[in-house]
Amino acid sequence: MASLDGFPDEILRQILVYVSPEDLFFNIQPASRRLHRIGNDPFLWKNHCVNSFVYWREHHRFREKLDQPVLATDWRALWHTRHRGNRKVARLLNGIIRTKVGQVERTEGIAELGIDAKDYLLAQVHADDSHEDVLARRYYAQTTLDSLHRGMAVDIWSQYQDKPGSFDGLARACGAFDLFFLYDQPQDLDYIERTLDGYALQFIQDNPDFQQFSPREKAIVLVRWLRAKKYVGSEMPHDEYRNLKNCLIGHALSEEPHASLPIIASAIYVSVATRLGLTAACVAIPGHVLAGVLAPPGQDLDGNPVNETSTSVEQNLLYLDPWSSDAETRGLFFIPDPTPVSEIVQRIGRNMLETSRLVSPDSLVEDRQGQLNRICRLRTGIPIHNLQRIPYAPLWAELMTMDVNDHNWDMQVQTFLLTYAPTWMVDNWIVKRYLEPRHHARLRTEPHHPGFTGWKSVPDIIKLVENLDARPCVPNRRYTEEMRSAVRYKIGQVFVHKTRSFIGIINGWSCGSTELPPHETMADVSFSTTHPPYGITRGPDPENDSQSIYYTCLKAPSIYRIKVAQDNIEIISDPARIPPECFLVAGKFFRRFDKDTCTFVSNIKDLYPDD
Amino acid sequence: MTSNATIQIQNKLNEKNESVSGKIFTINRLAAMQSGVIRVMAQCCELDEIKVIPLHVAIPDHTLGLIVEWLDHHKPATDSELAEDTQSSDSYKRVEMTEWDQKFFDDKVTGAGSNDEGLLRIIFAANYLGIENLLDMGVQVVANMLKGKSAEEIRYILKIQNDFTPEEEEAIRAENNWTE
Repeated sequence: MASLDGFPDEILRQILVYVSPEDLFFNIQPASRRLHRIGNDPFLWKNHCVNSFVYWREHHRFREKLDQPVLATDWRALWHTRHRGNRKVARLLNGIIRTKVGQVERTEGIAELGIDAKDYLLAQVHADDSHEDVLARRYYAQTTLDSLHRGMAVDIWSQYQDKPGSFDGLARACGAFDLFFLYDQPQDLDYIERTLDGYALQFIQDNPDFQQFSPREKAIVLVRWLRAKKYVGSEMPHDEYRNLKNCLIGHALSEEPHASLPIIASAIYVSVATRLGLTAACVAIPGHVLAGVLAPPGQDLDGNPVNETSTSVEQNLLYLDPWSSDAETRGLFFIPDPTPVSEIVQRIGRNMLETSRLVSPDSLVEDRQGQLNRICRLRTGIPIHNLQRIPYAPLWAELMTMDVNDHNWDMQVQTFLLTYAPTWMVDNWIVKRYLEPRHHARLRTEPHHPGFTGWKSVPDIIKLVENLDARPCVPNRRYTEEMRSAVRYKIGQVFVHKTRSFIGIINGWSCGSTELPPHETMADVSFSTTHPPYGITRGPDPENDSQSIYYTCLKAPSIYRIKVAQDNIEIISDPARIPPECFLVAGKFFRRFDKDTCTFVSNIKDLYPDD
Repeated sequence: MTSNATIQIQNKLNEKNESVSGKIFTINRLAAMQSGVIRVMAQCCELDEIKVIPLHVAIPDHTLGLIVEWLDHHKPATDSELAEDTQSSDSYKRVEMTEWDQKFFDDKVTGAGSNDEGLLRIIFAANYLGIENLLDMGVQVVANMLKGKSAEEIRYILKIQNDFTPEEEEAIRAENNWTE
């Protein structure tokens, strides 16, 4: 009785219920044969799998396994596989936080795990303040997760390359746009599918004799039901029509009121109708998008048997406008064909671009912030960040769904390579996996093409990004006593701009050089064009005519650097003056905030080792 | 029967072991009834008009004393509350440990003047006596002791031997290797 040996298995098993899977696997099971045997309990490990991980890559067939007898799966091995994945993500993320060198490569490593990486990344996005690098951790976990989400979206769109006429998977293809703006929110593709399943189920419950209706009656009962429930066609003030969230099906499904563009309303209608066994598709016409319902083979829309050859299109296809009407749409001047998913995706993309054009590019427009907040506010994310993501999503949608022989293809690729590839370097893995094969397909179709090289070549840009990623940082040092006294401020200090009175965080300085301070990525070179370099336009400081000293700073919510002259800097020491959004973006350059000194702790020591 | 009624239980007498002395413990009836074994035996004893319920497994007096203390503290107020508490349910429910319970285990079971054996004894006795909640708490305390410990430390805490063959150990080491 003095030892555990006298205990029945059942008690030991109960102890093991209370220990963490990590302790069990790595320390308790290796302690003795008996513990090893009892610890192998598949029920225990199934529980650990269910409780430790939410997101599972398709190839695990996790849902399927849950429904099978518990003994059919080696749950312990499955847990171990996922645990190893988490260790890998942890190692790579730590590397990303530690240094900018190899960030692109490490992101690619994380992306190899697909959605398996999401559980760990999501936990790090919500890392608590006890982490010494809390701001950087949250920031880079989020940027990595964002890249993962974008890769998933691109993957969905890429599936339409070989089937341009496909009508399948409409909701997912629309929801892929949501992934560009998902951040840490739960309204992902599964959420979208589940919600639509729920609508269909609710509808059947409300209309139990639905199956006896003719196709026409079914189509109309459904549109009335969806509109009565306000799932589609929710009225909105005219000036909200172009708001970004109206382009996103996940937002339309999850938010009340369920406002959306007509194209999204039709997509919702079609997705529910398809679940109910109707043959439906979106129908894009100039200026509007309808939903079309097709009669089943051998029947007309009223359920009468028909002879295939004698039916006209009118008897086969009816149109609805779920966004604005309970009734069938009649009297069109022509008979538009159903629109395949790839075209719907492109059209949503064009709607989003339309939205971004409504925000004035000029930062000096008085109500720009108000405009941004109105148009680009989503359930999460800073509006300006949402705005920056807008053109990127439609571009990928086009690049994936467009025919490589389309006369616009070369131009779209150019735009992508010149403007977006440098800004979204972490997405290099997506370019490699999805765009490079298309580039080669394009070359094959036109073997005599003068050739795309350098900035026109996808493989060359991939190489360029990889070289940049591997390039070691050149540190900016305070070599001389003179420099030490001349450059008065340090990385991480918080200041108020003397003339423009914004709060900034110093994240770079330059002494005696007309060049830009060192930067980590190409993206950092693209000084935000909407912000003039405050203070620097006045030329060299007359008091310091021999050398020009200036700083770069982070001015939240922008993540790009802004130049500031030394004389315009007034250091502040009251943390309460720092706007909250500073803490959201500071992680790009800083590990954490130190309240006592009112400074941010540098995470760019490799660039500024003496600060 | 009032909620103040008491019953007596007698520990088994073991002449070779003086810590098991056949001592008689007096305990509130409702408190004692939390034990499945005592519940059944009390019913039999009532029929035979036996005044003292004898236990058939030797539990050290010290341990049994602690168990009586725990039972007293967790005494149900009424018979119906007792019935509720002891109702077996299919779904396994974790028992919440109160501050008192934590202190009970820390100070009297695992703490100074006692040792890990004390805890193992409590668990053993709670299992024998069918006191589900005490067993569950004891199990949680053990689980907590194992948290973050190496296999070697765990063997020491649980007083067990490493009985793997060298080949088996090698296999485990290979499995635990974290490199991807």
